[in-house]
Amino acid sequence: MSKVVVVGSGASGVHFALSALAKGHEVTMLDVGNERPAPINPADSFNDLKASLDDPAAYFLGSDFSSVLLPGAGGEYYGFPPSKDYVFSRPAGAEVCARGFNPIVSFARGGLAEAWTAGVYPFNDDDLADFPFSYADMAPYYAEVALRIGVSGVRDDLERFMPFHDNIMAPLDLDRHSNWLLHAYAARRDRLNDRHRCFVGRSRIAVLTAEKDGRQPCSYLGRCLWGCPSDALYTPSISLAECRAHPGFTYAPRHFVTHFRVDGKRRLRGVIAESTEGGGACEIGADALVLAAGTLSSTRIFLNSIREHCGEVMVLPGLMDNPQALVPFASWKLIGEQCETSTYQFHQLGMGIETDSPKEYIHCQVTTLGAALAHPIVQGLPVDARTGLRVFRNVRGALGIVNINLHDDRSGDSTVTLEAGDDLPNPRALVECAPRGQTRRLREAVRVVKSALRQLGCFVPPGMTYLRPPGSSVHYAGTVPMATDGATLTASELCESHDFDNVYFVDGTTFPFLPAKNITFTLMANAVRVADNAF
Amino acid sequence: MNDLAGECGALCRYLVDRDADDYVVGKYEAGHRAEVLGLQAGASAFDRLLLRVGLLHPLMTRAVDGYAALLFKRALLRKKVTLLIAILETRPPFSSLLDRVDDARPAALVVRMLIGALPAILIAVVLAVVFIPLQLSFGVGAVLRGRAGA
Repeated sequence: MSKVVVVGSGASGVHFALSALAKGHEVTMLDVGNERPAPINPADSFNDLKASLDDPAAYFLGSDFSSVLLPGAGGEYYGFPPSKDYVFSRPAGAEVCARGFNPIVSFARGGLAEAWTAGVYPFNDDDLADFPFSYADMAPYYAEVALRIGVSGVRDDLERFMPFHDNIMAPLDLDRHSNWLLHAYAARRDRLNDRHRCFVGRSRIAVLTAEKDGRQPCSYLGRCLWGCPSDALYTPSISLAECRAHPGFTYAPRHFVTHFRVDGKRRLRGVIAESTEGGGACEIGADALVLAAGTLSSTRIFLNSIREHCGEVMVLPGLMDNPQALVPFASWKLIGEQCETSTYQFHQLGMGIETDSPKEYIHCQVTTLGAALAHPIVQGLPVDARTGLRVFRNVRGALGIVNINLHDDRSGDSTVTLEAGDDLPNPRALVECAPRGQTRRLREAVRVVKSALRQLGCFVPPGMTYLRPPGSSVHYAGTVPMATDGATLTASELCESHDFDNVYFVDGTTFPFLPAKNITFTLMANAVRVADNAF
Repeated sequence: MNDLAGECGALCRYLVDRDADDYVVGKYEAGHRAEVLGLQAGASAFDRLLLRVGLLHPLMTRAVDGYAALLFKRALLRKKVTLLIAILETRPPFSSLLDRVDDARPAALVVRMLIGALPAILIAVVLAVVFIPLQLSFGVGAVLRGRAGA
C-alpha cells in the first residue's frame, strides 16, 4: 500500500482513484474543487421551469445576462448556461495565456466533463496506431468504465469505427427528428456509404436507460445543457462522491497545485499546493504523484517543477486539439412539425466519414435542436427578427447541428511553456499555436458533410457554418507523449514521466495522437489501465 | 414611462404583437445595466440614427432590423431585439408564442413566410439605398476624426 496524491478530480482523476483505492492504496486528491450548485426543481421539465421559477431569466440567462449571445459574440449556437459557471471559474493567478489558441480549463469538482455532452467513443486500432498498446489491451478498461458510469448504445453502422465493448446498456428513446434522420439514412444507405463514405448510427452516450447505483434513468426533461437534475447523465462528480465514501480516500479541495518537489536523484518527494482561500503554500508528501488536472494544467505543473528543480524554462511542443466546425441544417420533411422539448438534448446520432488514411477518420455528432434557446439562432438569420422568429418557430422541429471533429497530430508549431514575471505570484502556462492547415481540412470536411446532409434530405443554410477557433474542442493532449525509447520529456507506456520517478500523467498529456473522436472515454479507460498496471 | 420601458414595449409588440409585462420590462432594463452586454457603451452616430429611425413605427422597426440583419449585424437595435427575444423565451406566456407552429403544410409555410416578409424586405431594400451611403460616410467620417484626433 502506498500514499498516492492525485491532482484534479476530472474524468481521469476520479477513475484512477477508484481503481487505486480498490487495490488498497491510500489516495489523497488535491483539487481547487468549485462546487456544483444543487439542481433547481429537479422534477420539472425545461418548459415547466419557465413557469415554476420566480425569475426564469436569471436561471436561463444568468443574473448578469452572461448567457445571452448578442450579435457579434461569435458563431456558437448555444452558450454555456449560468448553471455551469462553476465549471469555468478559476482562482486568481490560474489564467492561461495564449496566442492563436482559445484555452479552456476547469477547476470544478469533476473538471471539464461536468459540462460535457456525454459522448463515449472507444478508440479502435487505427486511432491507437501511435500508442504503445492496442484496442485489445484497452477493451477491458473501456468495459470497466462503461460499467461504472453507464453507457447506452447499439450495434450499428458506426461499429466499424467504434468497437462494441462489454457493459453497454440499451439506447435512449430517439427524438422524432433523430428517428427521421436514421430512417432517411436507411433509405439512402448504399449511396451514402459508397459515394460519400458516410455512415450514420446511434451515438454512444454516458446516460442511463435503467436505474444504476441509486441513479435514475433519463426522464427526458430536456435539461441536459443546464445540468441533468437526476444524474442520469454521467459527470465525474458522481465518481468523486463514490471515492469520498471510501475510507482510504482523502479529498482536499481549495488547493491549487503549483509544482512537485524531487530530490537529487529526481525522485518524487512532495507536492506543493497553495490554498485558494489564502494561508500560503504547503507541501504534501507522497510515494507517487498522479497528474490528472487536464493537459494544460498538468503541463504547467510539470514545467514549473522542472523550473523549480533546475531553473530551466522548457518549451513543450506537440499540443493537440480537435479542429471543429458546426454545420446547422434543417430537414425539409419536418418543417412545420411541433418541436419536442421533452427529449434527451444532446447528440443522439453520430456520423462517421472514412478517408483514405484510417487515422484521418472524420467524426461528427448530430444534435437535433429541442430545448435549445432561440435567440442565438434567430439573431444569426439574415432576416429581420420578426420574420426570423416565425421561421424559427416553424423550422425548430426540423433544425439540427452537425459538430464536425477532425484528428490532430503533434507538431512543433503548437507549444506550451511558462510565463513568469515579478508581478505574477506563480508562473502561468503560455500556449502558442500557429495555423497548421486546419482551416483547409475543416472546409473540406464541411463540404463532404453538407453533401451527405443534402443526400439525407436536409437543407443547409448558406453562410451559417461556423469554424470554431483552435482550442474550442477542449480535447487537449500531447505535450509529454508516451514513447518507448525513454527520451526526456516523454512518458512510459504506463504514463510515468521519463524525467522524474513516480510521477504519472493520466490525462491527455501523454497521448501521442489525437483521433477525431471525443477523448474523454479513453481518458477514463487509460487512467484505469495505469492504475491497474503501474500501482 | 421611461425611454427603455417604452422601447421595450415597442419592440415586444414588433416581435410578438403583445405588450411586455412588468417582469419583461424590468429584465430589459436590467439587461441594459449588465456590463457584459455593453448596451450602454457609446454607440456610433450611425447606430443611434438607425435606432431612432427603427423606433419611429413598427414597420420601420422591421425594415431597419432587416437592413441590420443583412448589412450591420452588430447594430444596437439588433442587439436590443436579441436581448428581448432572450428574455421573452424564458417567460410564459411569451415563451409559448415562440414555440407555436403555424398550421400549414411545409410548402405553404415557406410561401406564407416569404409573402409575410415581403413588405419589410422591400422597405429594407429602399432603406439600403439611403443607409448604405450614410453608413459608409459615417464610417469614413469616424476614421477621419480618429486620424485628426491622433
